[in-house]
Amino acid sequence: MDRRGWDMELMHDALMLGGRYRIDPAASLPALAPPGTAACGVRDLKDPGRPLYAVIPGPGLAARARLLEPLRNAAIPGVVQPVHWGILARADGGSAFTIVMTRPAGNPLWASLSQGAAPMPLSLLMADVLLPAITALAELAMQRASHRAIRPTNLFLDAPSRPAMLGDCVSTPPGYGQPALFETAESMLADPVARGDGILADDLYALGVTLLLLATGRNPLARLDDHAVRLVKLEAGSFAALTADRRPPGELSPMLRGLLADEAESRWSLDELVAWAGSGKLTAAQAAPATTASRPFEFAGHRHRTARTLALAMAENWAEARSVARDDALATWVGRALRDEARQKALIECRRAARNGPRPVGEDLLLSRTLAVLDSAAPVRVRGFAAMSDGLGGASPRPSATRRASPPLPRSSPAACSATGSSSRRASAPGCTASRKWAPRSPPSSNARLPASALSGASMSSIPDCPALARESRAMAPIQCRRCWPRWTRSSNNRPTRRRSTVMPRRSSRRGCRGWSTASCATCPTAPTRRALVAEIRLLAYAQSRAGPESLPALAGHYLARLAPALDCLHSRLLLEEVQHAAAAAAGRGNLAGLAEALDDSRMRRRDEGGFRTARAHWIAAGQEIAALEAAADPRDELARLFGHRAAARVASIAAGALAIVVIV
Amino acid sequence: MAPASGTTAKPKTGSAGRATLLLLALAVPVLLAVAAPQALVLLAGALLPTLAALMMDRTRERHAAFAVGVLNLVGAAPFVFDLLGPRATMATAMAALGDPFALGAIYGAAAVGWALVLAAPPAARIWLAIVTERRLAQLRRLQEVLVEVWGVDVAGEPEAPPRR
Repeated sequence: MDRRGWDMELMHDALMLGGRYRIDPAASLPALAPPGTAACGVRDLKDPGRPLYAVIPGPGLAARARLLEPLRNAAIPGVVQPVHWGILARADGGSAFTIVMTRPAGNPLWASLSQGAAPMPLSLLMADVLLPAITALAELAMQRASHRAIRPTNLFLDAPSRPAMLGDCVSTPPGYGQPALFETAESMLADPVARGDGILADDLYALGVTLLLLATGRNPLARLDDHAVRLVKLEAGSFAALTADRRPPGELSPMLRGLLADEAESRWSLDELVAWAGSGKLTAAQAAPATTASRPFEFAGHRHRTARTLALAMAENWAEARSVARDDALATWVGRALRDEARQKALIECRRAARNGPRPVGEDLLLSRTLAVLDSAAPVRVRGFAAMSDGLGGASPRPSATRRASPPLPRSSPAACSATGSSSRRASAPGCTASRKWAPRSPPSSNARLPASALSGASMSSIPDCPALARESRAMAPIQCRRCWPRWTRSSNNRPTRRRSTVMPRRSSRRGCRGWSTASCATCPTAPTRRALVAEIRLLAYAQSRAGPESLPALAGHYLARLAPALDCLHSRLLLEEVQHAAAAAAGRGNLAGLAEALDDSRMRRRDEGGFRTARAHWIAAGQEIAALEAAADPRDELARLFGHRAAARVASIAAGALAIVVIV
Repeated sequence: MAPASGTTAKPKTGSAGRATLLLLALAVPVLLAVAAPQALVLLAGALLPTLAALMMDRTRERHAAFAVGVLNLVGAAPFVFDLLGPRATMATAMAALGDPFALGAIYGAAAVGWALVLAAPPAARIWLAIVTERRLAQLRRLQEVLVEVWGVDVAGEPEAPPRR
């Protein structure tokens, strides 16, 4: 892996960041620069005495931007704190993301991992390194963050009896600067750029290796490269590999065994470490030896006795491993030599699904799944690229930023992610947050401009020759919608068959239901058909509003001709004519939204319903009066006599009054 | 205790009116008997049709008796007024009762009242029939219009064919 920082000479002579921090590229600080970055001095114009430095990640490396704000705000003692960050202009016209950090006092405990230093006394180790590291890691865990850069070259000690400070952990992807020596058995197999945030146990593992190195004063695997380190650790186990030639102090052995356990379940937690640091009585369980096969499996010129080493070899010899994944010999070896029936069945199922599954599975995907079965804790591996499930985000800026020139990540990898058990464990652990940018699910739809719920495959597939939606309900690309409509609207014979049930978008269904929430509509037998028609028009109107075209007269005219079921619920002829007129006007403009509004006007429907109720009451009252009038014969005679006598009395009164006047006069 | 709204007013008014009428009916003859007994005698003979009408009309309102009575009274009024003067005597009253012209006027007016009473009911029956027919036609037309505007559903007939 190319760990050199990029060229500082590309920077200006002096640069300002945030109007306050003067970056001085000339004051290079290689001891503070993690691999792949450059570090230089910084001067705070408001506080010139403040010890600061700047880290500039190299091109293609993604800083852990998500942690910058929390670490700055939390001000965790014992961890180098970011102060400010931003974009700086480069001499070549480019720009560089720069982070200003507090400069740790003192120097790194080790200048390099290959040289080592004098063994650190146990008391100093405990007081100056272990306990401050425990405090710092606990604080980081509370911030749901991980350090992922704990190593002797990134630990700073000012003076004895002063606590050590954990160095920079934000300028590179998590675990990027860690040699395989400091990574767990799972994450060391991933590409450095794709190791992921990890969990607290990963930091504790790195801390354990660091303590071992500091206690012994040397790196037992200094002469080995990362590949060889991986093999040694896989074959012998981490603790055994690191203590083969020199035993650590006996007081530290239980702690180191617990922290360096290769099985994630056996690895010590922070609580156990704190308990040991307090009482020294906790002992680590002996690690179960890796299952070795009764007979080796030959691959790539080597004999492999464990599934894990075989998986590593197959991942590194991808082309040759494809044929092994297709073969029955691997499953047979796992079942008979390793005596692991569950894994054998899983391998058989992988091959069966590849042959007979619902969709075609390529050889790369099959091999990736096979490797996941062989080593379920390992990262996802595809064609030379390996990534932890939460490390894909860090890999995205520079997927080929490894010493192995790997091709871009194929689309099959997310499906492989789902086969790994470790992915789910990591995803649920605290500290594993969204530096992974890609959830290991099915590939995201590229046709996501319309929400998936807006257009239902069940409804839209009723439009013939529509390539967007065939079998499954998924979002319909507006561009495909656009292609469909002109072809369909030009054809007079091309009519969609209306489905009985339509999945409606939530908004439309609410609007549609409001208009139908009347007693008569509830009992109307054509209500489902009507709702389906209105929903269909609303769906198309929504698509028209998002994708165009602005006018679809033929399509609107087609629906205009099918309006009868949608208008069955209307009682009033006058309102019906009004709706038909409005619908015809909208259809003439090719406006599907206007057509839907004309059909689905709830206010108009309330008017209709209220008017109908009044009309019905009038009709009933008239009927009752008609019945009463037609039935009343005898009472009419009585009525006539009464009216007659009353009239006679009034006439007699008038006549009498007139006569009286005449008489008086 | 508060009276029920609108329930006790009418009986009280009706009974008060009747009491007033009864008082008048008793007071007037008493006054006449004191002031002009000859007029009372004439009135007694002239209002015999009214008395007959009162006995025949058993309705509560007594419209028929009223019609006969008011015309009977108007017919007898001129002769009664003649007998109210200072020179009117009992013989004058008896002469008026024997005068065919006076009797004809008095009883003739009552007969007109009877004629009205007898002729009014058939006329009212005809009028009621006309009004009823017109009302029936209006109601049927209303129903037709309702069905025309709101459809057969407004009639609430389950077997009606679909409107549209």
